Amino acid sequence: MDLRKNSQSEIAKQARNLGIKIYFNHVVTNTFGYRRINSVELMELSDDGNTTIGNKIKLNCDCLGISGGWTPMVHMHTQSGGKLDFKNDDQVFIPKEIDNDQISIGACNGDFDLETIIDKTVNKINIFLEINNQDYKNTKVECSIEKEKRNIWLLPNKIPLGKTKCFIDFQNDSTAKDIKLALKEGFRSIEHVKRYTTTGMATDQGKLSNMHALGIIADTAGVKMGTLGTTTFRPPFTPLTFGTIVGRNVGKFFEVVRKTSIHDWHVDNKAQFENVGQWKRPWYYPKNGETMHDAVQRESKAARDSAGILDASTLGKIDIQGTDASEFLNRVYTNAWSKLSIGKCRYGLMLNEDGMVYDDGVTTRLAENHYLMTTTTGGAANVLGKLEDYLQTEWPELDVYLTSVTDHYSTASVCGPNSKKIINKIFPELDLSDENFPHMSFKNTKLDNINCRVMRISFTGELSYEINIESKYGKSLWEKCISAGQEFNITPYGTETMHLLRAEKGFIIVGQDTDGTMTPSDLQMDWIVSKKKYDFIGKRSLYRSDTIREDRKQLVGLLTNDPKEILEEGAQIVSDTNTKPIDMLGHVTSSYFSPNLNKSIALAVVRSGKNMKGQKLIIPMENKNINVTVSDTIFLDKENKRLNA
Amino acid sequence: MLNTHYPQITDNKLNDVEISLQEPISKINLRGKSKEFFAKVGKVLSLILPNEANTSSFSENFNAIWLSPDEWMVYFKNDDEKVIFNKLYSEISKVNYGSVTDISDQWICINLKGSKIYDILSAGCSFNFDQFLKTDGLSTQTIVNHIDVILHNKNTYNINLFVRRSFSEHLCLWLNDSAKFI
Amino acid sequence: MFLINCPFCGERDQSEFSSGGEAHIVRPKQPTELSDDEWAEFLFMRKNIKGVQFERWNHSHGCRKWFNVVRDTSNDKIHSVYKMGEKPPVK
Repeated sequence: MDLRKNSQSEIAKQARNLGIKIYFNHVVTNTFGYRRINSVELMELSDDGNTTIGNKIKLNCDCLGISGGWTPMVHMHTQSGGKLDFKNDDQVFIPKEIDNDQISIGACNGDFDLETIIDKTVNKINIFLEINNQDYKNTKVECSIEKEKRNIWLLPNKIPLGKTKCFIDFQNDSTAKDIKLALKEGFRSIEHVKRYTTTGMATDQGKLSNMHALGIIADTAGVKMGTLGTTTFRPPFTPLTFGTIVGRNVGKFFEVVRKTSIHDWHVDNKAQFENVGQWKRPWYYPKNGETMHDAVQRESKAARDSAGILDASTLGKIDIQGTDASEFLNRVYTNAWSKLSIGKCRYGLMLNEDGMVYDDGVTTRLAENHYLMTTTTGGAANVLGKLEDYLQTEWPELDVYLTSVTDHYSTASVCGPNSKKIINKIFPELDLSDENFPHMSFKNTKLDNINCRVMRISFTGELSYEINIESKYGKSLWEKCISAGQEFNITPYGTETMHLLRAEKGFIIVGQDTDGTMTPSDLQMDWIVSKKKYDFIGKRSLYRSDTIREDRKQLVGLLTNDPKEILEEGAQIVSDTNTKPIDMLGHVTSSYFSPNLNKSIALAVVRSGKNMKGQKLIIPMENKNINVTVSDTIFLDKENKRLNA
Repeated sequence: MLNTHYPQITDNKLNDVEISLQEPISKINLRGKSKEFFAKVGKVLSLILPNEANTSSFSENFNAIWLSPDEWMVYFKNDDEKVIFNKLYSEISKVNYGSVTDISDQWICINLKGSKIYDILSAGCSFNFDQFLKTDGLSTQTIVNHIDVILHNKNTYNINLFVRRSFSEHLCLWLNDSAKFI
Repeated sequence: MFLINCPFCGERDQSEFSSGGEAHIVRPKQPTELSDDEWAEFLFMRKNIKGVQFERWNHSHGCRKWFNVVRDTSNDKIHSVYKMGEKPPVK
């Protein structure tokens, strides 16, 4: 059957010569069969194609194939920003010429016969590549060409549309009736009709159905197809399996894993690991079936009673050199650096330009123009990127070079009242006296002729030493610390205990107690913001109308009225549960049971919290309200006596 | 005595690809712009630092890889006593001609050999190796399986790959996995 | 995904780079002398246009250098790249 009234093409002629009957100007009006097709019914089309005429003809068949005509695949063109034109002759959308590094040739440009394709291809390529290739000029191709055309989007049928199923989308089973209904419902935009009927939303993405749907909409609504436009041609062009997209990023390759040089020791000693960025960090080391809580309580107590050891290798480390290194630090940290003497360490707080806390860490002055900066584990790469940004774009005049040495050094942090004795056993020649090696200072020394940097710095509030050594010796150094510490019951502890110990001291963790909306003042850390420095990153933002508001969320300590009750991190804080809606004042950022204080402690951010010390607040939970009192953020050893124990 | 521990890179030969750990190798990061900087480097290493992007230079004992217009990595046979590093540090860093940083343990050097090495890398790397594989001495920094690497084309189908130590075991697992599919 | 021609390393895949937003916004030399409004203008106000945009990019997984890119945000076509400190090409 052929819609057209006739065809003079070669192929039609040959079919006739072979005795194949072609029913020109006919359409299929019905099909018959049980479970499979066995016959079709056809009728002649009226002159205008709007109705069927004459007698029904019945033909036996095993199969009915349908051709919906040619549709140019304009995907590549539109996906690179090209627009479409509607070609009335052929009733197809074709690429509009664009000023882009691409041309459309062949069927995707709406050219369907070989001679035209060859001709246009040569021409277009000559222009596109600015060449003059005449090889294919006057190429004669002998092929069957269809000159006669006829296009009917919805074939006529005597049976009303509601009584028959005229499928448009063969996968989603949406019919011509569905599309007409959508129009009746008031949908006009092609994008809306598509979503209402799901036409074109199957895996072929409308390659079979969209043009017919458009045609029916245009005919029904009396709009020109060119004005109606098309839906968006989105990639992928053909369905992809998820496996193609995922590739080998599955199983152990799902995420990139970073390990410290001491990792194998942690594994051998049954550490549970926590993901921190891409790093695997020991979380806690359960012994004899301990729960996490038990292990953390034991580790925390040991670190304060005798000695603990932490793998601190994951902290970001940046080597800073250059004559302007001190000036550079002045500009990136809130506090002053010029007067830090060689061999001394200082804690620094880094802000974003908006005045919010971005990173923190201890920086050591190794030589006149040489510093070693440490950053948070998760922030290392971003901090280096940000510092490079300022150096290269805002302050290119500064003579400063930054080099990441995070992986070069492994770091064992030994803390606790017995840490000095342990360090003394490892470095017997090092003078550890408070006069020669006070808190916040560092020494270059050697262990078996290998260079070590020992920093006396503390994130736990205990007397504490961090030993930095080249990573190939990291595991060996660690094992040395463990055996030197054995008589003092040196206890390896993980990130959870580290978090607990620092919370007892009220030290913040950037990213846990801060969330990109906390200024130093919000954290009650005004002491670290230099008043004298003319400028540093974020300074101007510290007195914007918003940052000087009194009712910002501010860091406070919380003590539960029942000291055994441990708050949930993230829990909301309110003062009044009766007035609805309940006014939320803030939330808990850190919460632990402190074995050293034998009570529950928490840090929280609370609106206007700074001035609320002693005030009673409520943490509403699913089954109960927990009563808490606002406290100082430092829970233990406010006088810092333990640092020099 | 302190013992050395290197990442577990199983030396492997699979599908005509040899993967082998090349440690210990000393590596030094050099930064500088001044005439004096280049002169001092030349004096200590008998080497002219490459100033063309993605290239390297070498002398009898040293290889120098271009990393950026003012940054290079020099690598050479192990220097346990840090003689070379100390010399460079005192001739350059101490007198403010530039920056010299020991990065021997920051990067792990892995050698890849065999006709399929570029197929293996390309499974997780967008870098176009067409030119790279044809020219001895070319270098590049790129990403392989989401991990930063420095590649140095020693000679035909023989490259040194530098990866940060903490990533090295994971990358080698991936390289071996990738080799299975080539 | 598209290719970026790093002015130092040559043409590389976009995945080696990170974007730094609108270009040619200079950090004020005397921030303390600015009003809240003037500072906010520097801090927050960025164009986000459909069309040709001047942007900062960093070859973060290569030479770590920052540079400028003129990119058409509607089709990711890059019209030119130039180093920091160099004059932007006229539109």
